Amino acid sequence: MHTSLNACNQDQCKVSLTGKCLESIDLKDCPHFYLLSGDEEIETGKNTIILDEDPILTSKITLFKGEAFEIDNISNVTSNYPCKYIYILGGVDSGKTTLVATIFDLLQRGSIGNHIFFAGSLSLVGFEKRCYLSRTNSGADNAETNRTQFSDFKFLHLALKEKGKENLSAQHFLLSDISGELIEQSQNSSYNMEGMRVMKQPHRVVYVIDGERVANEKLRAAVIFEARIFIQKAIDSNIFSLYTDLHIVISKGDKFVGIDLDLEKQVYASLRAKFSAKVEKLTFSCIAARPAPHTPGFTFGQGVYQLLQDWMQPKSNAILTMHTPVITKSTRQFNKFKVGGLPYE
Amino acid sequence: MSKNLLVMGLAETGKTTFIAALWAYLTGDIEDKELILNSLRDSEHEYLNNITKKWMQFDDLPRNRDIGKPKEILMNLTVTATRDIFDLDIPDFAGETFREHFDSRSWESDYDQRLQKATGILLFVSPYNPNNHSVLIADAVEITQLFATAIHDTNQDQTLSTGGNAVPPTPSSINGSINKPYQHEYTSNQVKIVEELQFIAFHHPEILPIKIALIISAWDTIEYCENVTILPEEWLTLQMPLLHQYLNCNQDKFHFDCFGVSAQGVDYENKKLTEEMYSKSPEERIIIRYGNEKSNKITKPILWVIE
Repeated sequence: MHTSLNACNQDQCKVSLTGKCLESIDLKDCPHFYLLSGDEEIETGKNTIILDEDPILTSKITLFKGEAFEIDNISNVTSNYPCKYIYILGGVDSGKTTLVATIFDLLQRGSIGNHIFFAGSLSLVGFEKRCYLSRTNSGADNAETNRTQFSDFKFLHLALKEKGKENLSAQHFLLSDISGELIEQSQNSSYNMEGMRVMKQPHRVVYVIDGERVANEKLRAAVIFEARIFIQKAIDSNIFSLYTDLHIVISKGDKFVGIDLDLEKQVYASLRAKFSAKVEKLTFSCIAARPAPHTPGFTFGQGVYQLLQDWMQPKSNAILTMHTPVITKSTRQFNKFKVGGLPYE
Repeated sequence: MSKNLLVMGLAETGKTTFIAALWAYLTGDIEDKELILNSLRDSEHEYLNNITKKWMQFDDLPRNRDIGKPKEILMNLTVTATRDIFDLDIPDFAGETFREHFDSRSWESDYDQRLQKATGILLFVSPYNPNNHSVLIADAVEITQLFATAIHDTNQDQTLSTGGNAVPPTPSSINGSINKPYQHEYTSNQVKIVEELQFIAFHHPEILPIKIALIISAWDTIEYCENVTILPEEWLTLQMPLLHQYLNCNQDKFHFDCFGVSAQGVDYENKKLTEEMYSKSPEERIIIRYGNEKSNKITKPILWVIE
């Protein structure tokens, strides 16, 4: 069971941080102090602290968890920083999490494109859990990404700065990590698509189409069909609107080597014709976040810099989010996927 | 006046060696000292004297493994240039303490209280540690392929004569392991250090901005040639790029500068070089690289932090 140590009623008291009463009163006797049990979230006045253990017994101060955030606790970030939501959508194994993991892997090697710099993240452990299979100490022969769990609808916090703007405030992004199954269920059912309504004021929506399937003539039509259906359903359900900046990304671009395929003609054109008038902006790109080694013309994180550069640009109608997306509890299928939790878990 | 410096760094990053060399400097008979030890009265120095004796004898120093229980070190000092008198409080924490913060997502209330009083940070990193940054499988494959090509070219005759096939080593064959679930030990040091700084910024914004002297230890192993100069910040950019970016982007919180420090002066494994050092005075062993400046002034990072 989690125990939250509440801030004392007295403004100057740092009991929530130190476990010690301002007036040196035994906490059991202090009238201003109390412990809460369960899933309650406590605001201390500056930053939220949630404790796993009773600090009186352990003399330990619990720090933020560093995990990915859930919708229920995302306000821990949005109340501290103006954040831009980047929703990354797409079917199972399309490369959504690999894209997110690659951004963090690239930053660990240095600035991206010698232009975009890492300024912090309250989800470092969350990133690490999504990245470690791309590293030698995971023991893997080939770089992989842990599959996003079926129920997951999470966010990773990332603060970035641009070259020449190091002295300005960082831009804070919340990158979604949503399971492909949830997306596929949403494209099949309006009932489930309703769950996507949490996507309030997205800075960018990225729909990832699995390039490996596009490269396969047998599977190509079906994967494009899935994208069309999802986008159409999102538009019809007012999830996407004339305020949506939609970027369609073809992943795994290295799979097109040696294949005679005109993406513009065979993929982009029909999607543009169908949807460009129904969203604020519709753009396309092809990336290879983690190309197979030695693929001629491809380097690690191919196309990711351009994607980030676009995210760093303001959105004409953007309103920086400083609030929590509110979800009404319901018995809808979508909400069954959510796992309730405490901030920083 | 009191200056409370937090000595941070993961295990085996040279924290204790630095403190031993500092104590040797302060107690030694050295001309033109920048920092002067005022008095040995009313203080306990058993730990300091012990580690300093070992340092002077070119012995390996004992590792402090007591998580959360630092060796208390308090010195009453005067800055020669300004005549300012202050108490320097630099507790020697075990490196495991900082690893534990990342792993357990908690720290001792004693550490928390010291943090609240901190007026500066000495942050140690070691160039020896292979986990300073993560190695991507993509990069490892490129490297192993290059090696394989070189080996193939060199041993072509032998390979042909045996009829065997040269199989480049794969990351797992280097590593000798198979896929494992995530563990904190897989996370690189630079990520762990960034997280420690974020913990400080998030949980104790009241002590910000704070100065950080980033000390790259064993500098003698980096700048081992007279005619090769690498600046400490360049090393940081190359070897711990995420940490460098974080510090650069958060100068409103952490005012940092980089120092290359060799408090030991020599790798004890190198018997010949070590024996050559015997004839030198203790302070001559020390190497401090600060920008383009090279000296043996161990006080440099401390003076920079407290100024």
